Amino acid sequence: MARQGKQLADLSLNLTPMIDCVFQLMLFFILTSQAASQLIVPVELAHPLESKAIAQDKLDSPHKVIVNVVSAEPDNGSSDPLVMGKAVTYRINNRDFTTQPVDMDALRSELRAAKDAGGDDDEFCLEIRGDKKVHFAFFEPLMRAAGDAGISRMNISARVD
Amino acid sequence: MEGDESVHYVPPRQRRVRASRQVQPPLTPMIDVVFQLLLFFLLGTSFREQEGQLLASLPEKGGITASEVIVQELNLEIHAAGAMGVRYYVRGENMGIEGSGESLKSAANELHQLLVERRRKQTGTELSVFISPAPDVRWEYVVEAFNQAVRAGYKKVGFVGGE
Repeated sequence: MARQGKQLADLSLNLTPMIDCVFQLMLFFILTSQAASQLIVPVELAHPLESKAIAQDKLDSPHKVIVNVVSAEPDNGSSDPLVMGKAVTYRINNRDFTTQPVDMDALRSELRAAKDAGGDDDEFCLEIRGDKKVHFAFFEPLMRAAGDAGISRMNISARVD
Repeated sequence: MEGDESVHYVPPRQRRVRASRQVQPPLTPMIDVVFQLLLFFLLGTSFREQEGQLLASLPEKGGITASEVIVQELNLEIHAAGAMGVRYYVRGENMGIEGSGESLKSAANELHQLLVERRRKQTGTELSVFISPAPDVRWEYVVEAFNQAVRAGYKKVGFVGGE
């Protein structure tokens, strides 16, 4: 009986391979993860055929304002005319702007303030992150407001191949 | 029974070696923390599709109206075809390009071919593309048209205001 008890006490798991794996996983997550920016809202971006979109890390756009056009439709779409193709909000710098009706004055002043804060240079650009389901009617006022605010450059977010 | 150690003689040198071998930092708290971190990353990570930018320019203050567009420019109209479909129409062409569902990709390819053809025919000044989407066109088709124009090699691609 005493010998059996000693055998059981000596039994231990070899933890080294498991710790190795855990460290590998940790390293993977630490190196690949990027903290989510509050300026970016999850939207379903368009994925054009043979996308010519330039990857974010290859661009040098120091001064920009990101406008997220968030869809009212759920991800799997909807046939409800009340939400179909509609935008629920424009999210700029963590602030929401109404879409129905579009408050052009508020949009203009927000974009102008962003441009002024960006150093008022010609390189300043508007970055449109629009949900692919939203109709163009919600983008046109945005472009007009940006034009009125003196922004001449625009980047359209799309998925990269 | 005092134990084996008191019975057997162990030389001091061997005792020192044995003592140094037995020194081991406590790994349990470190493993605990590592597991906590791993759990945080596993639960908190959501993989995002890679995102890029199509570079464009905005219309001048007040916008460009359709009537102001010079005839030589290439005008690409986009209309909705049903709830989910699209119809691209290049002014000057007899037929539009229509696509919906499975045929969206072939429509995009067809549009690309058309744009390449028109660019090849153009001699002298560089041709600009003006896109005028209808208000009820889905944004993905606008981005698609823009992308196909860039893909076809046009340097100047812009939007035309509807008013």
